[in-house]
Amino acid sequence: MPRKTVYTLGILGTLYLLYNFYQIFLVVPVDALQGNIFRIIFIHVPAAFTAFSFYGVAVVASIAFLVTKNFRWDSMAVSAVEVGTMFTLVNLATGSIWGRVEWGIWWAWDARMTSQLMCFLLYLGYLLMRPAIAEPQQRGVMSAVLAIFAAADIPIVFMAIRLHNVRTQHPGPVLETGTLAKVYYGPFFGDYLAFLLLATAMMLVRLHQESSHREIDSLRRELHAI
Amino acid sequence: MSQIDLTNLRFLFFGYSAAWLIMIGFVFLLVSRSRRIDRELRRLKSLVEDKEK
Repeated sequence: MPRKTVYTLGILGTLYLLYNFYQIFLVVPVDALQGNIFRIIFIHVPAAFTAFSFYGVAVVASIAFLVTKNFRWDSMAVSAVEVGTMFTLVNLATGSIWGRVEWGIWWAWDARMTSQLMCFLLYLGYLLMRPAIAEPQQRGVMSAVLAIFAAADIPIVFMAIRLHNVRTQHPGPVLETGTLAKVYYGPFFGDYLAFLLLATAMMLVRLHQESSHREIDSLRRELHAI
Repeated sequence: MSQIDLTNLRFLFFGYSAAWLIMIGFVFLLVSRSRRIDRELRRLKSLVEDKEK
């Protein structure tokens, strides 16, 4: 594992995140309608963006695995899914807390929230399924198919607040409609970048673990043969 | 400070705490798993070396 790269990405990501927190809590103005709870957007949305970015990596790696049957791609897919699932959980938890204040309820079974929960459960299923399949080739193929299938939920999450005939509790898209003031863009995209740096460091650690796993498997086979 | 402001701040604290807890928990999970894998790898390597002697 490029240990230096992991540490550099981790430290850079953490420092940038702390700088963004300084901006979020001490520099940018409070939202006139929602008050201080609005500041949760700077974690809630960038966490979702990061999760989807890593699910995208998992889809590309899964397709590459199905084409080449090279296990490095399978390792990359599972590493990306694990990190993406963690960020989806951050998104769901912060969204639920935000909803409790704004709507008076912890959860609403509307299109956006339900499809995001589905996304989380599908990728959690992917992670739980893998240890249940002993044969590596079969595990890789089934995981790749599930990763691609689960990604079909991402456009549904995206469109859930954009379709006119879908009623949703969740607010509409804040970036395209310009409802997010420009003054918030710095910490908003800054947190996304900081999360990307941290998530990449985590994924590199997971990749190293997967390659160590393969080494352990080959050593076990070697021991069995001796 | 009004009651609404206090509630807002309390839940904002919960939100950021939840996010940090999840991320730090995940990092701990990664570190402990790495240690376990490294230990197993060292054990298997020494076993193979012993058997080959």
